[in-house]
Amino acid sequence: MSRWLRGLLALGLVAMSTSAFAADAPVRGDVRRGWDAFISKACVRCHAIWGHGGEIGPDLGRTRAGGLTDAELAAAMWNHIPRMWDKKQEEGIPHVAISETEMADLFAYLSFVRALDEPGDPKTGQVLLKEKKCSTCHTVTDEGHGVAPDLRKWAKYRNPAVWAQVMFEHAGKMVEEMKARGITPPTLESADLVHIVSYVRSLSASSDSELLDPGDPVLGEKLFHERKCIQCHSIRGQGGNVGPDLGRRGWVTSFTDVTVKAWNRVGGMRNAMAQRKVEPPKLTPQEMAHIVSFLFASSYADPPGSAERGARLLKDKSCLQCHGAGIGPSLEDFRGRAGPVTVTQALWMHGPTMLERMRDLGIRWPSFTGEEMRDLAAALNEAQPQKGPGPDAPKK
Amino acid sequence: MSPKNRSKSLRPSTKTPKSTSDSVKLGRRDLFWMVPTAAAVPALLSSCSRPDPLPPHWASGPKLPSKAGKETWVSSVCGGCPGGCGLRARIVEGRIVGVAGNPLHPINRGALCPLGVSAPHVVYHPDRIRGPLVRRGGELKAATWDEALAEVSGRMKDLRSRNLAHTVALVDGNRGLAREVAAAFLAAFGSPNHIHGRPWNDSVPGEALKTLQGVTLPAAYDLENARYIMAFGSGWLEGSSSPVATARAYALARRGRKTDRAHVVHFEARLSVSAAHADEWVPLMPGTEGVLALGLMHMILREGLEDRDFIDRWGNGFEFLRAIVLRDYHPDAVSERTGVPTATIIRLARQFASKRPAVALGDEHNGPGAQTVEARMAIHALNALVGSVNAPGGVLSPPQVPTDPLPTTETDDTGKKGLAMAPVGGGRSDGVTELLAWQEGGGSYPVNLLLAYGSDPMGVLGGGERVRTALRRVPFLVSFSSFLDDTAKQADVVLPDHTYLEKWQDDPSFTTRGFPVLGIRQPILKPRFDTRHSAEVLAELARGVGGPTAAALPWKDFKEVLQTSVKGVHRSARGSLFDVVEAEPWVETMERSGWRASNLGSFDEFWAGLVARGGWWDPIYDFGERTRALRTPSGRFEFGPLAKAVEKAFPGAGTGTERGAPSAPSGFPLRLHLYPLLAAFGDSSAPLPWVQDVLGREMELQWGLWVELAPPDARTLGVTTGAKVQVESAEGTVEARAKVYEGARPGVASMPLGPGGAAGEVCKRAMLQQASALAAISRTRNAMDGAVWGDTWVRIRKA
Repeated sequence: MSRWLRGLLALGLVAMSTSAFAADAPVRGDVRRGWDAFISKACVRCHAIWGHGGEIGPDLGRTRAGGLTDAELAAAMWNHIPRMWDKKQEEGIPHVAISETEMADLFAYLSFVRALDEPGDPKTGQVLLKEKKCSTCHTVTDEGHGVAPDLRKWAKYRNPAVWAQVMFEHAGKMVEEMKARGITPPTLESADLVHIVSYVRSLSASSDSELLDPGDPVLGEKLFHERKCIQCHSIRGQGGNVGPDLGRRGWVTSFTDVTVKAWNRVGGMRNAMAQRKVEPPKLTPQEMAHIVSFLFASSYADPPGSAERGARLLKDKSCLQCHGAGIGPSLEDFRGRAGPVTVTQALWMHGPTMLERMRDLGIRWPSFTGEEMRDLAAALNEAQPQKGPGPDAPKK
Repeated sequence: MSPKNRSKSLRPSTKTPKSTSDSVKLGRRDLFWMVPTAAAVPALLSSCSRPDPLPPHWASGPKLPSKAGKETWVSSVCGGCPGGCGLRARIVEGRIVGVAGNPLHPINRGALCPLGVSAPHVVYHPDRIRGPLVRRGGELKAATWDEALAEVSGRMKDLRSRNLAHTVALVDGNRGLAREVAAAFLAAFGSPNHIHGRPWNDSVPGEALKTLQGVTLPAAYDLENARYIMAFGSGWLEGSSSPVATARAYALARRGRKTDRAHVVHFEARLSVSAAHADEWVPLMPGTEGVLALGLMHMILREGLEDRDFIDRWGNGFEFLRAIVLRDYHPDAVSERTGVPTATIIRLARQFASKRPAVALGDEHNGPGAQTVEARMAIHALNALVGSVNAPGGVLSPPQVPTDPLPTTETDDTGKKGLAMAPVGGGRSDGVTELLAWQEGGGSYPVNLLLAYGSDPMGVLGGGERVRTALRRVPFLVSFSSFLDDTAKQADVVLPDHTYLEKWQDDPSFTTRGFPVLGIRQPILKPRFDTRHSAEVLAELARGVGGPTAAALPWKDFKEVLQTSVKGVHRSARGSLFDVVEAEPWVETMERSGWRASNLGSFDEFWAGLVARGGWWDPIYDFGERTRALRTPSGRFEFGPLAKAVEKAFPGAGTGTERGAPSAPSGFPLRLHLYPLLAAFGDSSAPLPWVQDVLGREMELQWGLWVELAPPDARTLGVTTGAKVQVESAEGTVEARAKVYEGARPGVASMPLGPGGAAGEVCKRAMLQQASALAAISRTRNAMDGAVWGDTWVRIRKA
C-alpha cells in the first residue's frame, strides 16, 4: 500500500473513530449557541456552571475530573431524568422543547466548559516559576537580565492554546539553551501552568489580551493531518507510532493539560522530528486552539458500540416492552441516526410521558452506563429491534 | 384581560428582544393601568401648575390613545442622572405611554428610580423651550435657527479674527462622544477652555483620586464583594452618581449572600436612608469626615493593622503620612472635633482593618457633597491602607470602552496661538469652581463668550448667586438647554437641545464591579419641538466659523459619529451585547481563560444588537493591570500629597488651634448639612412634577423646601413642624418649613439638596435647589478648594 493511500486510510479511520460529533449528530454542536440554549431553555435555573446558576442540580462545569464522553453524558442524563422531572414539577419549572440542534449545541457547550480550568493563583505561580527554574532564564522584573524573553511580554496571553503555540515554537531554542546550561527541562503538572499563567498575567503592564475563538475539533482534526502530526501520533491506534496515541481515553483533563503534556515531552518530540528531518509545524494561536480542541475531543470520543450487545440491552432493560409493542413509539426512526445527542433529545421531548406510562405499568426506569448507551445507539442504528418482554416485564 | 395577561402585556420581555413591534388592543383596563404613566403627564400638571390654571399650550400636548394601536418597545438610556440606567419605552401610536427598566442593561437590570420612571415628563413638559431664542431689547425672543446660529458663529468668528479664540469657553455637562465633539471643536477653533460642567465625577475622576492614583477616569467601588463598607458623609445609597447600581450592589452584598453579609457603618449628621440601611449609624459633625478618617488611620497604624504588602509594593511617601497621623490625630482629639466617641473610633478602626475586603466611601464616591479634597483624600487613603485599591471588594479603575476616538483635529496658526494660552479649567472635576475663581479676578484674560453645553453652570449644585453674578460678567452667553434653566434665562442665545429621549447618544459608564458599559441612547420618538442635537449644532457653528473648525466636524449627523466610533468596540471582539444576567459569568470566565465569548457578529448585526438590546459591556475586570489603576509618575499610590495636604488642612488637629469641635461664626449657630434625595437626584429633575410630588412623602409638603432640626434646637427656636422659617447664611436667605426630626443631630440644620434650575413658565413654585444657594462655595478655610458646602453655617428665624 502506498504511503499516500495509507495516509488517506488513516485519515478516514481517524475521522470515524474520533468524531463523536460527526458520527452522532446530524448537526455539529456550537459552543456559543449551546450556552444560549443553556440559558434560554432554563437549564441554568437548576444547574450551575462554575458556581453560577441554580443549586437544585449538580454544577455541570465541575463534574468529575477528566470529563465525560457524549455517551456517558447521555447515560448520566438518562439515569437522572426521573428525579429531574419530579424536581421540575416540584419547583414549577415548565418543560421547554429542545431540538436536536439545540441538544447538540448543549453537548458541545458542556464538553467545552469541562475542558476549561479554574482560575489560577498568582502567588503559587510566582513560587512555581522559581521552583521549576523558569526564572533562571526568563526575567519577570526590571532587574533581571535573563537569556530568555521577559515573560511579561506574554502577559497578554491567558489562553492555554496560545501558551502551547508559543512554547512549541520556541521549544527548540529553549531545549538547546537548557542543555547548554545543564538544566533539566522542568516537568509540569496541569495546575502548575494555570498558576504560572495567572502570575504572569498579574505582571501585565496593559489591558491588552489576546482572545481566541473556541477551537473547532473538526478544523483541528484537519490541521492535525495537514501539518503531519498524524505521521508520528496516532489517534486510537490510527496513525504514526513514534509518539504516543493522542486519542486514548482521558489522557488530558483540560485544555491546559494538553499544553502541559506537550511541554513535558517537548525535548523528545524535537529529537524525533530532527531524526526524521521533519520541520516543526508552524501554527497560529487560533490553529493551535483548533488542534487542542480536537485532541481534547479525541480523548473523550466514544468508541463504536456493539449492535449485538445493544439489541440484548433493549430486551433486557424492558425497552421492547413498550417500543414496538404498540405502547411506545417505534424505534425505527432512529435507524442510521441514533447517537447520544439524538437519544437524549428524544428522551427530553418524550421523557415525561414515557415516565408516566412506565409508572402506570409498574416498569422500573432502566439505567445505562456510557458503554451501554453506545451499544444501544449501535443497535438502534442497525436494525429494527426485536419485540418481546424483558426481565422487568410487569405482571398483568 | 386577566390580571396575569395584563401584567404580561405591559412589561418588557426578559427575553432578548427580536422584534420590537407588536399590535395591541387597548381596553378600559389597559387605560386604567396606563394612568400612572401616560395619563400622569397631563394629570400631574395639576400638581405642577397648582394653583395656576393649565396653560393654553398644554391643549396641544399628548393625548391618551383612544383606540387600538401599534405598540413598540424601544431601548434607550435614562438621562435623569449620571447613573446610566437602561430603560425601555413603550410607544403606542407614536406616543410614549410608559417606561420600564431594561432587564438586559447591566447597570440597573430592569430597575428604575423615580427619576427614570418620570422620563416621559421630560419630553412632554410644558416648560420646554420650543425653538431657538435670541436676546433682543433685553428679552429672549423666538428666532429661526439660521438667525440664532449666525449670531453665535458671527461672534466666534469675530473673536477668532482678533486672535481672541482662547476667550471662548465651553462648560461641558456631557460625557462620551458629545464631549469628544466639543473637545474637537475647541481644539480646531483654538480655545483651551474645555471646562467640566457636571457636578458628578462620572466622566472625570475626583481630585483626590487623581492626586493619589493619577487616574484619568472615575473609579468604581466594588461594594458587591466588600465585607465591610464604611461610608462617610451623606447619601451613598440615595445620592451616589449611580443610585440604582449602588442600591443593587448593596442588596447583593447583604441579602445576596447566604453567609457573611457585608457589615455597613455610616457616618452622617442625620438618620438618612443610607444611615437607616447601615448596621451602625454614627452621627458626626458635618465637615469633619476627613478628620475622622485620619483618626481611624491613626488607630490602624498604631496597632500595625495596615496592609504592609500593598504599602511596600505599591505605596509611596507612606512614612511621611504615618508620622503626621500618629503625631496629630489621636482618637481623643479626633473625637472632640467630630463628636464621635473615642471608643467608637478605636472599635471601628479595628473592624475596618480586620474584616477585609473593606472599602471606605466618601464624596469621591457619592458625588457632589460637603467634603474638601483633603477630606476625600484622607478617606480614600483608608482604602490603600487596607489594600483595597484595585482589589476585589475595593476601589477599582474600570477600563475604557474601546470606542474609536474621533480623528485628530488640525488647526491653523490662530488656533495654535489660542491653544497655547493658559486654560480657565484644567479638566478638574470642579470646573465651575475654577471658572468662578477666574471670573472673580483670578484670570489672566476675560472670557468673552461662554457656551453652556449640556450644563447649567449658574444653577449647578453649589452655584448660587455668587456664580450667577460672576457669569453675568461674560459678555456673550450661549445655552443649549432644553429648559429655561438659570443659565438659559441669562443667555444671549439659546440653542435648545432635544431631550434625551429624542436623540442618539452614547452613554459610557461602568458597573460597580468595574466592567465597562456602553449604553446606547436612541430617539424614542421624533423631536416634539424645533430643537436640535447639541453636538450637531456645534458642527453647524463650526461650519459658520469656517476654516479648520469646519473641517474638524465634517460629519452629517451625530448618528454617523456614533456608528463610526462603535466600530472600535466591534473590532475589539471583546465583551458582549447586553444580555440576560446569567450571561455575565459565561463571558467573564471565557475571557479570563483567553477565549472569546463574543456574540457581536458582523458590524451590521452588532449595530442592530446594540440598538435593540441597549448596548454593550465587557464583564471582566483584570486586577493584575495595576498600571491602569496607579498612573502616578511613580506608578504607585501616592500618600505624600495627602501628608502635605493634611499638614496644611488640619494643622495640629490634636494639639493646636483646631482642637475641639468646629466653632460657629458669630450669629450663625447651626452647621448646614445638605443631603440628597433619591427622588430629587440628578441634574434634570427640578421641573418634573412627579419628582416634586414624591417629595411630599417626606413631610406632606410638595413643591417646597424644608429644614430639619433636632428637637432641642427646635425648642430653642420656638418652632414646630410645618412652621415657616427663614434660613440664612453668609451667602443668602431662603424660606422653608421647619421639620422637627428625632434623627437630626443637635447643632445641625439639614436641608434637602436639589438640582439647579430656575422656576419654569408653568411650574412656578419654589424648588429644592434653593438650598444650595446657602452654601459657601470656595469659601472654606482649607487650602485645596473644592465645590464644598461642609463649612457653611446658618441661622434660622421664624418667618
